[in-house]
Amino acid sequence: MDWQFTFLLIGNGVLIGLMYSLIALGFVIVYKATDAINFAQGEFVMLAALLSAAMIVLMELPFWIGVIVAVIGMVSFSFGLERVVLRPLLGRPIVAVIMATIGLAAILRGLGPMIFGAETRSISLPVGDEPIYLGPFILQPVQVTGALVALFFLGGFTWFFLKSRMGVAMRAVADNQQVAQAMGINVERYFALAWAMAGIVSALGGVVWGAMLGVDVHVALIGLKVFPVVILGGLDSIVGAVVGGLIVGIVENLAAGYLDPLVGGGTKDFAPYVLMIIALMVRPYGIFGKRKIERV
Amino acid sequence: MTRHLARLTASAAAAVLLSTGGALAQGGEIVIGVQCDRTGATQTVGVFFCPGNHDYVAVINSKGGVEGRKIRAMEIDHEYKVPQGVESYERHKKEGAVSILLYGTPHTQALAAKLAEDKIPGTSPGFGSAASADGKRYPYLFPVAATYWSQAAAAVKFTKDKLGGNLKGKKVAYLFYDNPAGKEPLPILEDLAKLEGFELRTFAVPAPGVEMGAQVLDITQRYRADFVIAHLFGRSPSVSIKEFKRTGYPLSKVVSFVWGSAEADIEAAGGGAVAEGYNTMQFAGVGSDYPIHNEIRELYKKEGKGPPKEMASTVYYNRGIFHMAVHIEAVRNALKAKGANAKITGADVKEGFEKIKGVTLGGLMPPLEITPEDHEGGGWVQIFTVKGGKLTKNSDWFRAYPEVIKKHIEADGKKS
Repeated sequence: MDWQFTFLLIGNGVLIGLMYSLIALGFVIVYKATDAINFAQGEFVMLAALLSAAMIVLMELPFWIGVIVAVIGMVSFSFGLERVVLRPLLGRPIVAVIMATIGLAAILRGLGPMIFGAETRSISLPVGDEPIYLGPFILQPVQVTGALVALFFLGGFTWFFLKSRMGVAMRAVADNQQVAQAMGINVERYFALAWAMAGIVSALGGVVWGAMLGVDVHVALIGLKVFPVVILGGLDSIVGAVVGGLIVGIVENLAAGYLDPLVGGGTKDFAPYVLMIIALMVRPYGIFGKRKIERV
Repeated sequence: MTRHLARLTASAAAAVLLSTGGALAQGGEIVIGVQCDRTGATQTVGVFFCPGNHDYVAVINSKGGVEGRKIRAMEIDHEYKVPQGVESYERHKKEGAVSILLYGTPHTQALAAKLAEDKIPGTSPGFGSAASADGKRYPYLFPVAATYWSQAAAAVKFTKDKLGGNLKGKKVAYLFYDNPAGKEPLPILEDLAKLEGFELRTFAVPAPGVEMGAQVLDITQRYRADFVIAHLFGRSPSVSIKEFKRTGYPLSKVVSFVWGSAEADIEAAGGGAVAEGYNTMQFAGVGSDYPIHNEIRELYKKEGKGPPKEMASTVYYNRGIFHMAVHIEAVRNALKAKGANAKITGADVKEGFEKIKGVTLGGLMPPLEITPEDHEGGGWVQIFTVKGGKLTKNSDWFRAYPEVIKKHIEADGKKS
């Protein structure tokens, strides 16, 4: 066992895992507040990345303008989506919302390249590309930035849901819409707010993942990592999103480092899903999730 | 008398008309089928590659055509889908195409038997199968550019040159896209590892190839490769450039096969500053300073237009020129053999391909020499390196280990 290489893989897995957590966070917020499962989370991230690249590369605006436009664009998009597509589905079976988001994902994957072009564009975070050497670790500035952004938002949202009045109201809405409404909470307003918050994290996720991979429709594939993350951590747990992200990041890196050479490659992609299936069998509500199981 | 004269005149006129008509029918335009992908999975290539095809034809036609015969390049976009590719072939055949610019490995494989059956030559530069270099076994398939086997050999030769002329005890990593095309060079690399005494380790990147952090960490930190040979497609070349850069591995120690070698890959990785030192393999020249580019610019100028914007993506655009140019030369050879006004068939053009020699378009094309036995034309490549943010010529046309390639082609022939 080459321990230095193992540490490298784990270190890289931690940073990538936190970047997964950032995307998973959008998913968790929506589920926590509205009970809806957003299958278009990856496409939200893709759309944000395309928006920021359009500003930074095509219109040659400063990086921060690109980020701000991506945030405003994604918040507007999420608001609009909630108002036009999801609000009419209020009170309908949960599967209706799921199907709507699956349809939305396909539409966004088609519309994205149609509007913004199919070529890959490169956006750079203002942190450079030169690696940071830290003992046995080699840290990529873009990953460190992504991880820090993720941690900031994870902390912020944790505080929001636990300590703020709005956050508590949101949790009440998620817990029981009818009772919350009866207590005078404007359910629709909090639904819109949840989607807007998901829009914000998608925007930032889009920028950091776009910088990491290059911006095109492939960014949406990162959304596939959300499912093992949230199933492992718990669909409605912010802490779970962090822990799930870290587990997925580390496991897939170790699989790629140690199993790929033995079997010829490709284990990185399915190792998290193996874990997910095991988690579903053993602890379907996740490590930190609420023990509420619904048949979907 | 007058009536007799009129009859004579009419007869003479009819004779002239008939003979002219016959000549027109025989000496009319020549159709070349063009498969293209401007809208499918590899559209990022097609949108530059196909205009290169057409602009070259436009230049040829503006000069009176080939031996006085106009060329019609009949493009059909198959969206990189095999059923559409097969259908496009049938349409080309129906239109009387004498040769076809194929596009895509699966399409080439699907059509290989049909081409031989219908006696229509098809070309597959940079894709298809390496074994199809064997003209005896694949009479109507012409790779016309270095196959993946030849590219592997050239990559080893380049690696050897860069590592001081001796590979004994050196560590070479092969980073490849995990599909049949990515695996195709493995036997050549394994053979050459034995021959040259270097250690070879392979690293597969699963589709779609947007994540390879662990593989790059392994190459750079655990295996500590002296050199990397990369054979990636689509999005993965740009991701590999970023990953190597971010782990501090010098890109001057990476050489890429032809599908990770375009300006688009470098741009997607963050531009020349990020990709500085990255070595790219090319089967057509890079840049827009060849004589043919001036002719194209001139042609556009006559029409009151600026140069085509696709010309800026010189790697793909030039490959498009190259791909059409070999067809034009094959048609030219066929017409020279049969007569300028003769009706030529696919079989004639096939023979025309097998006479191509010494056409270089001022260096844009390698010193191809296609023969009835060798449909690859020698397996020539050039290396261009990112220097000062631009792809800069790093080598002349070269080929490597032809005896090893020949051995594998013969062995493959014995399998079937």
